[in-house]
Amino acid sequence: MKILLIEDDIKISSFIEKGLKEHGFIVDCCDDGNQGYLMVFEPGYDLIILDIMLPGKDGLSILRSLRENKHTVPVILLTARSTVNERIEGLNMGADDYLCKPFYIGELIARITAITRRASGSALNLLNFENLTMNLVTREVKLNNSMIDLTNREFNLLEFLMRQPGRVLTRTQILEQVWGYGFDPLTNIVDVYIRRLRNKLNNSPKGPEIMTVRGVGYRLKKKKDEN
Amino acid sequence: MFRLKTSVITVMIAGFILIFFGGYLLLIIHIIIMDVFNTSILDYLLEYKKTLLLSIPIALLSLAIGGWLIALRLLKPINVICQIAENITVRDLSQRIPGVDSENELSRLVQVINNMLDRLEKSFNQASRFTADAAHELQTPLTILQGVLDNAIQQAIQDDQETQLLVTLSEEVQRLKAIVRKLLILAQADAGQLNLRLEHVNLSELVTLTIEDAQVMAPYLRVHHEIMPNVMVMADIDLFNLVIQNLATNAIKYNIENGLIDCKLTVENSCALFSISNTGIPILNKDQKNIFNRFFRVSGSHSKRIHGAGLGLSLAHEIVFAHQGDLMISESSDELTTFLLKVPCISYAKERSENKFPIK
Repeated sequence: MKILLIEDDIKISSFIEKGLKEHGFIVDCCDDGNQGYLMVFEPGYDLIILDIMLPGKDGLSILRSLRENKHTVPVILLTARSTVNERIEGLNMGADDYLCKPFYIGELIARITAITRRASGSALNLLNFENLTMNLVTREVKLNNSMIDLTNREFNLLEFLMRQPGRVLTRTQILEQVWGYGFDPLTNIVDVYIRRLRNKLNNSPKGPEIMTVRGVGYRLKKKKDEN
Repeated sequence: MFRLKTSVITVMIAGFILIFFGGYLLLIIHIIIMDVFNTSILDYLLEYKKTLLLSIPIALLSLAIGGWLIALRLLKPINVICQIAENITVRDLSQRIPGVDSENELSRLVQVINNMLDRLEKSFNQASRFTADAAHELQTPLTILQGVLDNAIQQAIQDDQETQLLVTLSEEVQRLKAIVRKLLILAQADAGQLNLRLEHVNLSELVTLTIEDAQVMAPYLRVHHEIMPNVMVMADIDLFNLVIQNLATNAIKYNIENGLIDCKLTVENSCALFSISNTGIPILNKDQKNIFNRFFRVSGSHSKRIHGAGLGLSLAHEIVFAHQGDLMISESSDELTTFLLKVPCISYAKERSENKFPIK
């Protein structure tokens, strides 16, 4: 999958590029609005990540002319400003998603995956990892086709892990993204919930495992074959 | 205002004395004239005396009414100034006092007040703009820090010393992010521009989730709860989540060992009422006024090493205020400290239905 990244801050674009390349995407970078304006019309990009504040043409006007010319390539907007108006304006103009800085690469990848799933027409309400299936609408989780009973919070946590399989997620990152900013980062709440979730997922010999990365955090991965 | 009234009354009394004694002075002069010249002026003077005595009360009365009217007229612009000045608050500094028609001391006063308001508004806007700008400017370096650290952590080796360093750094970045975000919300609230992404929020679910968390975070506390199901409010779910979590965290942080937390969610007069009580040291009356102020922390909480910046409650208060609600301390005794949150409710389930998300 080929992605065009238009972001004027080279440090930001370099870590995004690195993160996306590690995930197997092909990434082209551009740090100028005027040049970016020309590049978005080039064929071959499956998705465009667009910063709103750019030297030269700004992100919103690039998006506008893209949509006026009937280009339907998916666009994710990036911005440091989190005012509602800008968000709504961007989405009204035809952006597919919107991400406020500072964001995690994992979050960006999860959004890209969601958009490509939407574009490919696959079921949006189902998340799969190995033999684990999650229905986001009915809020049912099945492991090997048998239902697992999760509390609301456990469900949210598992959903977060399943959206970014394989990535190492730190405790603070999990706390911030599943719980929000309201809690003290010093609590052990994440560890307690991970333990609970693990107990509920553990009865299958194969399938997913929430691995502890000691001193760092957690990672959802395929259970290793013990034999 | 009081002084002006007094001076008008003084003028009236002076006028009264002048007329009263003035009349008699005139009379005496005429009597002397009559004695000396012994003319038939006497009849005329008697007539004159009668007229004079009659005219005095009339003159007095008209003087009194006139004085009163003048006082009222003088005071009217002052009343207007007072009313407008009362309505000028931090949330709307753009109001000005309309000019007084005539060129006098009052119009100068109005001018002076308006100039003062201009300067106030300017410096206030500068201050809140600065906070907003600073928060925005901080977001770019934070994005870079977080991104680079996140990438490094993905490649980290378990139990390595360097990995520990990365994790510590990333935790601190997260803390900075949280503070910047909170400051930004406060700056927006100050400028009266707290943008709410309003949607239908099931407050019961939000509260239930937080109670579930509280039980996990503090298993040593007894948690009682009585939550009316499906209480719906119009709210910004992210911000409201922050409020509920903040109240719950406080109830845990400032609790005693083996203490109690009591949560209630009810609906009264189409207002959702959420109260959360905890055992612990009561909040003194003098502190109750300040507890919603920024960076305020009850004395002793620094020394007890309770973690926090003192932003949470002021933020919660601003958020609730922006939702046309109210947040207050409803009780603080030796047994319990209770925070009460009131917010307009759109609908609720009258009958107790089975809880969809049971607390385990």
